[in-house]
Amino acid sequence: MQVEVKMPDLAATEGSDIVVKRWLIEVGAPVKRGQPLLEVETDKATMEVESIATGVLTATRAPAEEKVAVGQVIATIEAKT
Amino acid sequence: MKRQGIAEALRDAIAEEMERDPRVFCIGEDIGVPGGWGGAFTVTLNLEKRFPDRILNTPIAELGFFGVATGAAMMGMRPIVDVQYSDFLFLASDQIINNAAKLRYMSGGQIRVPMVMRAPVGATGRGAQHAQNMERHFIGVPGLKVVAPSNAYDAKGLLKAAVRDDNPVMIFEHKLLYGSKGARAESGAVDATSDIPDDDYSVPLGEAAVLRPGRDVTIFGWLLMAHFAQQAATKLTAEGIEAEVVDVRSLSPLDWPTLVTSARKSGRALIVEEGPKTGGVGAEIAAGLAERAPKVRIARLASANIPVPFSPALENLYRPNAERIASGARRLIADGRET
Amino acid sequence: MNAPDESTRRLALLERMIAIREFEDGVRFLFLEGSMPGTIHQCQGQEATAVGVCAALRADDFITSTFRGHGHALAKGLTEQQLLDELFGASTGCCKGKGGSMHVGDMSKGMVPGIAIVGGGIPLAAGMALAFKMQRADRVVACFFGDGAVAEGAFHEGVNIAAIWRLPAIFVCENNLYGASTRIDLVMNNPRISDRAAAYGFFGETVDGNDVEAVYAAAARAAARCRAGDGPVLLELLTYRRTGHSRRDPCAYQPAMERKEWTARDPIDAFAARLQAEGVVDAESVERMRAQSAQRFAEAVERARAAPQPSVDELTTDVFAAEAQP
Repeated sequence: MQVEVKMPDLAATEGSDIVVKRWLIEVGAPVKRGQPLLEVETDKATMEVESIATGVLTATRAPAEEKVAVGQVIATIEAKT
Repeated sequence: MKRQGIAEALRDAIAEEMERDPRVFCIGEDIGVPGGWGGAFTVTLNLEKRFPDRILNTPIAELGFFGVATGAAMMGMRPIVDVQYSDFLFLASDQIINNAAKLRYMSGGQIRVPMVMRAPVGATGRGAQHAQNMERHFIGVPGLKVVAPSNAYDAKGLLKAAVRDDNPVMIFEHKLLYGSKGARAESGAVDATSDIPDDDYSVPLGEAAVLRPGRDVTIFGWLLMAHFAQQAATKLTAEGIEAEVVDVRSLSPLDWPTLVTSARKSGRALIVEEGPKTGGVGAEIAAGLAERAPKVRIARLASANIPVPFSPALENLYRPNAERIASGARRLIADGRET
Repeated sequence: MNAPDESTRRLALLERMIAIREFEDGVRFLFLEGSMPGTIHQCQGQEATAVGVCAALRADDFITSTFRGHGHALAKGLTEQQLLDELFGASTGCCKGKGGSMHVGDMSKGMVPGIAIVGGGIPLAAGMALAFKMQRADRVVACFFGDGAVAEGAFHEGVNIAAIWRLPAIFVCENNLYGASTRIDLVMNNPRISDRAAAYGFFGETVDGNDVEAVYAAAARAAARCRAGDGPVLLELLTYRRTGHSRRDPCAYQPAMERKEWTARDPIDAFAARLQAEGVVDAESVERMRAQSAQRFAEAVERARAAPQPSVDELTTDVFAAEAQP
């Protein structure tokens, strides 16, 4: 089943920018729950965002250097149930 | 029936409550040292003889012993905490405001904090850090009740009600109203004695008291200002002005029904406060009256926005007195402008 | 070989630590998914301190906790359901949704809702111990706090009063080397926290906080000392936080080598290995414990998602207690 990956609330200050830095998994590659999926830059630091599902990364919806909002769908995973 | 001052009446109240309920105990600095003072204002004098295990002398550690009292109250004891000067409450404020006042709500109602805190306020020639009126910092703290007795009858009755209440209650007492005798008597003290009944009684928390009826202007005050307001009212009677004097007495919650009824009766409300005008208890009373009784003209008479000065000449200028209260009342009757 | 009771007791320690790890890891994902409000302060890596201490306490003993209290709660007997309902803000939560992650607790299970002001629980715990002493009850209170709290005035005032009045309080310092993001050697010249007890004239010791049995033994000794009326104990437990200070913290201030060393000393892996080596448990049983915890967590999450949120009628209740109890 398709799982949407939403940008989690990682910014230190409310409403400050979160910027995608780089994707650590390629589209089409397998990914495990807990595995780092991408790096983002917040006002506090550069952080890794872990995958919330195990399966195959089917799409990324935010390229590097793009600002994303908390809750925005940034990727999809075809998950093994 | 016997005539007593506030310090004596409080001492009896504490002793009677400790006799009645073994969970009640006192905790604070210098409150029960044999051969000592019985606290800075003699309130607990010699109580350690009657209750050797329940008058606890602490180190100079307000944050510590207010937290200790809170923890003991959570486990079913009923502490009466004594802070030597209310100015020191700032040190304890995390335990009072972040813990004692909030634990019931944060726990979803699991916890009770039946804790009484007693704090002396008022300027008495000791300089700015031993002189503040601290009431303003503790009203409007959700979960905390605040009272301020102006006389011995109320002091005894309110302390008993506070001990029997299952919530944190702060009692502000005025240094010039204790009526302490001998070496610990205060110069400039005002007679706050009352006839005290022999039988057990309490005064409910949450209620103001009309001290003197009148139709021309209503003067609101508490602690020392309640006395000065009555003195002002006496002066005004001679001029044909009848002032109603209300002892606000319960600062949180405020007794809106009584305050509003009195304000509406005269249509002129003079709120008298010892302490800087900005952000005081008077500001809350003024706002509340304005919302509930928009036709009432409101004025506040309070201290200048300054720390309390030492020099007696300046300290007397700092604090509202009967003369300035009477002037304020006349001005309100004349045109209601800011005093 | 252990006696059956002994084995049961030791397996229970392992089970609780696994339950805490599964809970905290599960909650981490709920946060990442965006389905849980607020923030969280987690304790992965510190399971042995909570479990070892609480196992040495009686049901009628109390603990006080901090904003990092999920592990303490599960170790003291709260359920995953109580906690998850609370984290989702539901009115069926342990604090009716009014406390949240930093204030979980259940007085009927001997846990005061967490005190989120650093050090704020220390005088409180001394006061609870005072009540036990005045009531002549042989109960104790264990007060959890971190290395960061030692700098607060509340630590000084609280332990000093407990010492002079010989109160039955175990002051448990979970020293994980960091107060938020600041390393301990930057905030104190003497980083051996238990040394301070001597300055106040009471007993203190430092123990490996990642060895659950060492923690249990030290806590049991401390509780016995308290019940005998010998005064408080400062129990310093050396441990490490494998997760951020809060959920928005990537721990970039923790050196990689340090993280690696402590990961190799994971309290759960270490104890499971010890029990397996002693033949008390096998690998399948450990895996079964993990699966059971994960299952319990997943079921509790589903119930928590559907649990009722508080209504406007509950907004202003529980501020004051009604008229006094007799």
